Amino acid sequence: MKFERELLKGIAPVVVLETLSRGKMYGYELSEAIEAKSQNVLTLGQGTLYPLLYNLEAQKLVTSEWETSGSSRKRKYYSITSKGKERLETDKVQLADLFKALKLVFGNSIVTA
Amino acid sequence: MKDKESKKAFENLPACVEEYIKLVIKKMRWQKKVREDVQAEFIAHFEDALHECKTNEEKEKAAKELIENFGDAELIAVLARRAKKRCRPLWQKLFIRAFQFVGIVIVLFIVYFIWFVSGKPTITTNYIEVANNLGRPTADESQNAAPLYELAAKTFDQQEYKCDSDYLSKSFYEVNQIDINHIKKWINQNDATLNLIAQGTEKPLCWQKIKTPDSNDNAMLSVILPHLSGYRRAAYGICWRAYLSAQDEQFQKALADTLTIYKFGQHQKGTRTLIENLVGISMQNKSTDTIRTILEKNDIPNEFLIPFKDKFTKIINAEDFSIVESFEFEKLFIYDEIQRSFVKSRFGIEHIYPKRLSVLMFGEGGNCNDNSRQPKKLDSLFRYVNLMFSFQNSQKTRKSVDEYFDFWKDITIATPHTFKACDLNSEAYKVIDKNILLRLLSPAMEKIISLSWRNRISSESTLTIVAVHVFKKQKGYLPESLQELITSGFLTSVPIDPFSDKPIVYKKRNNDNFALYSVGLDFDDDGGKMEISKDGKPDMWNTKDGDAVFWPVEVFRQELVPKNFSKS
Repeated sequence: MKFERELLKGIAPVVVLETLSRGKMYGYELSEAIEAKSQNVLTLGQGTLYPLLYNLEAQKLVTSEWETSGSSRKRKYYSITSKGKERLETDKVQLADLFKALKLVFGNSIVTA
Repeated sequence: MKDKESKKAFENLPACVEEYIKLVIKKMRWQKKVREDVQAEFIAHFEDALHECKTNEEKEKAAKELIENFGDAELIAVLARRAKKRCRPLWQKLFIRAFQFVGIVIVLFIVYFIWFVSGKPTITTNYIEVANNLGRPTADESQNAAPLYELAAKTFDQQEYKCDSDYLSKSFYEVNQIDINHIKKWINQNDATLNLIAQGTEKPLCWQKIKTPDSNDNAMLSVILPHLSGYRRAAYGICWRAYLSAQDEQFQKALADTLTIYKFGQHQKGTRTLIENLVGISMQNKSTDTIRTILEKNDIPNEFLIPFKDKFTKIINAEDFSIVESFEFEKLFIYDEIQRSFVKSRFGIEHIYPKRLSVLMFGEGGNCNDNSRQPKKLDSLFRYVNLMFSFQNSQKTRKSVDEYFDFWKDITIATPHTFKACDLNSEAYKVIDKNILLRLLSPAMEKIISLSWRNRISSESTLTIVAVHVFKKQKGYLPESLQELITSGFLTSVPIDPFSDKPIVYKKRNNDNFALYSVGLDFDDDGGKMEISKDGKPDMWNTKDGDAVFWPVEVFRQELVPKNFSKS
């Protein structure tokens, strides 16, 4: 299922931060993890994932570091910062409120997890 | 080498991926280091995504899907660039912004500078003609004294005996017999020429056309008045002739010569240049000084004094001591300079013509012979930049010129005593404001106006002194007060001292001696005592202290000079 870009735009950073909160990941790994976790519902355009990561890095919500993995391939790993964690918590609360509000508006016609 | 490295980096990826990544990186247009970093990350991403593909066909197919999933290369490049820009540290952001700002300022400055130095002013009015029409009365040329004066001035210039200036300008109290001999020689040689001046003073009017030495140059500031040095010599010469005639007891001739100088001075005043007006004032002062000296050094009978007093009274009554008339003339100099100092650009916006202003500030070609006016390089640069950002225009400047002269016109009506507590120059500078042209060209008006008032009181006091002498000769004693002169019909009115707004001070010391003085530039009555200048001479118009003593002339002055004073 493909979401409207604008609809996804607002929650993409939260999704990335939430995924990174479980451990550091490189770009491809991150996109795979999001897809897997969301059962292929949230498929961030891979091209836009990197500008999104760079933006989060500019806001000091994530940091990056080049590392060489077991297969001797160099990858850039992103990890969430303490500032990023704080932001994630705040965003989560807001999202919860948003879902509640959406449920009130749409009633039973919208199903939440 | 670079190509090899690049090929190595993309060796595990299909050509379409290499092409795509390179396109994104190219479109990023950002720092090389950042682009290399992004490229490495994208390569790693594609390698991870494609590492499970076994055949090249599979790889190719998956790669194409991935590229499609990545999206438009240009959009990715723009988004990546924007995001990376945000990653810069604050100091770098500030530095770049500051650098950009300075760059913009420099570019704007250069553009403004090019505009500022371009163009030339348009000369629309020949102010020399305007000035000559303004100063030309509606009278027949036969009534004009100027041709006779000019002829006299030219005659002086053609003479071989040139030692006059040293001797003629000496004070009556500074000369020795050798000096007197030189002066007599000069007078004998120039007697006929001096008579030309006397003939000129018989004419009712005097007007002279101003002109520049170069007929192609009609700038008012290029106007020269070469005749003035000749006039000065003539005035000194006639004063000496009067003094020496009086010594020879030729009183009628002596007194007539003093009036010649006074009228000669009168002819230099009016709607003419300020310089000419000042020369006129100076001549009249020299005349009154000579009259007083002659009176003190000689016992002149009333048969000469009474007709002289009557003539002098008539001249003074007809005299306009104010110099307001010269203001309109003087304004033309600045109007002319305004039209030469502003350039009108295409859109009607004006700017200063820096070449002209440089000439005004530093002399021709920006070089000034006067070292004191020669600016330092940094100072000239500062002045130039100041000119660039003064944002003046001709209309505003002309308005300031009118306001400036109107301000001083109002001042001339009242006496200096009225404004004694005011700093007139500061008030005038408020009118000038930041007007560079007016600051450069505005004359020292306060002093000039003061000079006209000094001339007035000096002339009226001299007439009063003559009246006192006539009274004493007739009555045998000195009047108790100046009022007595009026009641006896020797004087029509008591002069009012413009520096006190009170009648001039007259003090009868004994049966033979009296003092007559103005309180002078310090506005205080110091009991008729003059201040001594640094060179030991009595200073009649000292700004700090002392009175302007018109009588007695010599004896009193000598008393003032300290005995141990050395002229060296």
